[in-house]
Amino acid sequence: MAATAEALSVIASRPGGLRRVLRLATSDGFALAGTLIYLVLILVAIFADQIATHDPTQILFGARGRIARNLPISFDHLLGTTHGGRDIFSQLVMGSRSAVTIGLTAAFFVVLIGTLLGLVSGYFGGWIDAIVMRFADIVLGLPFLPFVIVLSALSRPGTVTIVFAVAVLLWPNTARVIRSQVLSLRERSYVEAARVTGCSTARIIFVHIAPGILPLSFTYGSIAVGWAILTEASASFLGFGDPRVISWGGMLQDAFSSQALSRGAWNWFVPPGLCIVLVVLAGFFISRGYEEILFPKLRD
Amino acid sequence: MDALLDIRALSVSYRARSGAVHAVDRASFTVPAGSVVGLVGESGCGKTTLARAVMGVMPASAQVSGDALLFQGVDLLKLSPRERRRLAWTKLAFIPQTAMSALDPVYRVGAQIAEVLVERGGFSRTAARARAEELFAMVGIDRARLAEYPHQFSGGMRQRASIAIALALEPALVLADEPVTALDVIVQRQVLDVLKDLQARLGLSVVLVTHDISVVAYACDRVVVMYAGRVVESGTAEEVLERPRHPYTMGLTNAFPDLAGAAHTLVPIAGHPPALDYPPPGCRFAPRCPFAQERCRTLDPSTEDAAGHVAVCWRAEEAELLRIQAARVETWAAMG
Repeated sequence: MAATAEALSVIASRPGGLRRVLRLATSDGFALAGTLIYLVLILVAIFADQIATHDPTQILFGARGRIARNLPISFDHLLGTTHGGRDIFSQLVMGSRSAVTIGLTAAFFVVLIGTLLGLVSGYFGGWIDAIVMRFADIVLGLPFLPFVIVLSALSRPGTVTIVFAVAVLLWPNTARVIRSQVLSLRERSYVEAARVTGCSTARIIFVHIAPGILPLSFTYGSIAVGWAILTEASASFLGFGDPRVISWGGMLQDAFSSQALSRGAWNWFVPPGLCIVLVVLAGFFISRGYEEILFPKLRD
Repeated sequence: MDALLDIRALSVSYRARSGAVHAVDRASFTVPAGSVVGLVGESGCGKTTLARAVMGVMPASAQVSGDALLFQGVDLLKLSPRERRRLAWTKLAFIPQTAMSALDPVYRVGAQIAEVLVERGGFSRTAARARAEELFAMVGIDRARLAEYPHQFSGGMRQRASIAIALALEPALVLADEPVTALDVIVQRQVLDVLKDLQARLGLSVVLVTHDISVVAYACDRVVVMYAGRVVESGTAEEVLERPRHPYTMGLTNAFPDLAGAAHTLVPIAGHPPALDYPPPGCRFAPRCPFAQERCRTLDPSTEDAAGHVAVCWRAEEAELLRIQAARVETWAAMG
């Protein structure tokens, strides 16, 4: 992995590299919107303790000791309260933490596994390729949600299970696309030229081929962020989430089971739904902008 | 003259669905130190395969064998891949045919020169930087352009940049595979001049693979002519081009215009080189040769060495007479 780090540092250390990345991020409207959404999400997740107005798990009591359930939007409760008397805004803010953790770790593993297997499979070909790709085919055949549910039922439901499931189920998409790109890149003359200079195989793969597929890795990474958050939301909504962790999916499940929809308590179910949609969208927006940053030729 | 590279009966075959394809068949020739040797022949006659076999960069389906492949007295065929990799670029360098695409599009040209210097030559980053500027000055490119990407270079500049990379570690031998084929004639001349000038200044040896006789005439001291995987004639450039002893070489020299001499009709060689999975018996050029006799079609021709001018032809002794006939259009037209 040292070589990959080197390749990345080469990209980062180019004169004016950071400024160019910033310029590109701001020149493309979609990329800018995506970056801003991610920035807000990460900042909220970091400062969640300061932003939240109440303890999201605390049951609040109103005057005369009654549970402060189903309160409307007010200065005291920015998004009202739940049926169980908890502050919705504070839950929403704390929920960003699990979204960021799950989204980023799952995406990291998807990209890592998918990129490595795609590179190795595409570059070496032969029986290595056959084994990896047949294995990918099998994994692609697994139905997504049932797999997550079974996994949660068998092990302790929670963040680790969700991240594991997403990483295990999503790498084949990344690996396949990257493999096909590597099949083309490994035949390029500059790869052959590198081989003639006496370049080691690892160096050819990580320094000369990897940069060519990094944009794909990033694209699939940002898609994986969305998928991971969606998966967590789905699992939590179905009741297979970690009950001790506040997440947007868990909020939706709570709202659903308390008949928030039939009561028209939109202040309860719309905010977490909207947050999920925005974060997933932001991933796609950013992936569009990456390509230009990483392919020098597209800049001019 | 000491032979820097001595190739003895080197064969390369590729495994294919139809059986083995003998791309190079018992090729022998030497490259004296400090000389430019032209390796000529039609497309598919094994020139590139031979050059790659010397570099030791072959696809898995290739099989290399031979009596010896001596480079500075060391038999490269007996070295392990690891030992050969150590020689690559420090002693033996390569200028690829497609310098247009031989540079990695995602790195700056300077970084790619530095990569070779640091990784293969053990240079420090700062030393590599200085050396890269020096190399660019040598091939006549402004050093400010080290900071540019390959797509910002013209074809001739990319070719010169790849010459710079090849010379980075001062190798003893440079194999140039069709280095000027993709360029227009004016740029060809510039690139060849750079190569010739550096060859003379640094005292290195160059094997210039080309199908262009005029490139050989302009840049080479010695010529090796290949046909259908075999070496058919070799000798000094002057000898081989002025007094060819093999009918194929006679045909080749006829097929190119002579700028200095009188205008004459270009005479093409009819037909195609044979398929190399089932080559014809005897002399491989016999089916296209206007002078072929019965023995040419059945028996492998003898190697005739006349004071270093080697021809692999049954009728090499009669070359004087054949040359006169070969200059006529009718001789070759009868073959079509």
